[in-house]
Amino acid sequence: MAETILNRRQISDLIAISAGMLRLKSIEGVCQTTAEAVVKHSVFARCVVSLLEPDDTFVRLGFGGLNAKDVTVLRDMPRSTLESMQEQLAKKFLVGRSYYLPHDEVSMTGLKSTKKGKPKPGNQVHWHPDDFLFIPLYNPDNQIIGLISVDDPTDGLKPTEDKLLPLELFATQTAAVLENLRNLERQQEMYERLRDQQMVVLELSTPVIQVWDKVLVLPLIGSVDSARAQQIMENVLVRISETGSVVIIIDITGVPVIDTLVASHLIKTVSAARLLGAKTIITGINPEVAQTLVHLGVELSEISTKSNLARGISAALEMTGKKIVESADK
Amino acid sequence: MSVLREIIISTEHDIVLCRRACREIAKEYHFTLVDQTRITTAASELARNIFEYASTGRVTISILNGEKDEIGLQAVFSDKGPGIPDIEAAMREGWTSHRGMGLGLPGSRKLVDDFTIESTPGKGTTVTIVKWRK
Amino acid sequence: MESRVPILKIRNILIVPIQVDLDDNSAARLQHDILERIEATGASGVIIDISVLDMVDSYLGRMLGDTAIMATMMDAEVVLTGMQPQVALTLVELGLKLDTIHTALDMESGIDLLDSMPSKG
Repeated sequence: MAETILNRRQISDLIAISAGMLRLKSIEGVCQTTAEAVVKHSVFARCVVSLLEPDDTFVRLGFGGLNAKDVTVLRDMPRSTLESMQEQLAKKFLVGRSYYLPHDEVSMTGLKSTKKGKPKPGNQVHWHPDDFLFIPLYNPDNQIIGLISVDDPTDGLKPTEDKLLPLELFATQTAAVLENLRNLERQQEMYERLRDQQMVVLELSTPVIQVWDKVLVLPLIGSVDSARAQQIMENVLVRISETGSVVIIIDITGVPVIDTLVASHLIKTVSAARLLGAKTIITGINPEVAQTLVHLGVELSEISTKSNLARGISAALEMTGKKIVESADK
Repeated sequence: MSVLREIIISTEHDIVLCRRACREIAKEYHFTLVDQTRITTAASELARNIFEYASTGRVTISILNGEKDEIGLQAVFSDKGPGIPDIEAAMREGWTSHRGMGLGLPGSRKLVDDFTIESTPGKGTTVTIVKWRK
Repeated sequence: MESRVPILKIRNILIVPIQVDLDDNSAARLQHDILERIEATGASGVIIDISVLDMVDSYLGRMLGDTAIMATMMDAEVVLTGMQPQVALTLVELGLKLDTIHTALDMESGIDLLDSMPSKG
């Protein structure tokens, strides 16, 4: 009877802590909270939470019921490997979903017991100081992602399935939170890689070509979004400044449609280029783009346009005092 | 968040000090050259607003850490001046405003990522801007 | 107190290199100085070089734009030279087009531009 009452309190305490764990943002924080919760709300006085790393070793991240010196010792201790663990997590040791390793059947190089007790011969009920209990943490594919290892039960008894149930439930919650955080980390990494790739593509796809002394051409191809437009604008201005160009031709023949945001970027580019002493000629404006520009209130006096790139280049060369002539000898 | 600098605005020269401070901090935290310029220009506009409308006020520059650990530069411009009776009107402007008058508020908003303004007529105005590092 | 911006003269062109970050007072004073010198020398062109400036805000922008209009009224054309790309970008994003003033990449191009303009009177 007493045990049932203890369980109810224990369960509701662990539930409250589980709910709080959802808010934690660090994997180490979750491990530590778990270790402390186990020590506070179960019979076990010591707890270590370890996670499996990509190199298949367990790194100890959460410590409960241990003093600073013990923690340092444990941190410095060599890591257990998944392989060695799997040998120990054999079916015969299963109690519920946890693994209870009696001292006389297995030797551990992990937690060292601080209690020096004599093994009581033939004892079926008492916990021996060198016994170990592992509650594994599983991911949705049922693979081990970590271990909660506990020791020193204050009641001195071997664990029973019933007694372990609340802890095992808590362990599944911990596993879920950890998986979630790991997924978030992976997503973040992928996002950053993608963004880096995008930047490279952006840079590669906005080439400003110097076709003649002081004449630049920017052929825009494909759809242009606001981010690309921004990049283009900065690129163009730097190139004008570097080359001392007085004319830049922006050819938008290859751009089927531009939205008002991109159109206004284009117009800003024209204004900014002018501030650097360069004139902009926009070539290849199709009917849709023409409409967008006029609806935006762009005045013809603000932009110089030519129907195609060839005409644009011709006009640009004229502006710089040059022209294309057919050569005399054929 | 850590407050790095505080500048009291009471003379024209303080506007220059304010933009220099913003430039230095933005440079120190490795913002791109364009963004350094944007931050500095926005700060100049807002500091000038303090000087012109309230005569005196204060600018506080800090560095923020975003949710994903991004770095942001925050500048808060506060004064106890007359306040702005119609904030919406103050923020509206035409692109063709070629004389540059009244560009301070809407202009600086375009240069930064986050922009908040609180103003109570008779009590004062506080403008907070944030630019996140790319 | 910022020291005054120098105004140099080459032939009939005034050269104004702005080398320091100007506060509002100095900018206003500079406008006044430029106009005075145009009157005193009868110069037909002014080059204002801002290649050293790392920022131009709406106040300075307005001062430059107004100076150009005022100078034109006094028969002189103003060319703004040396604007840095990121300054140009920010000015335009701010909402200032500065279309009342001529522009050139550097002083030399600025002088060429002035020379190419039809002379007055």
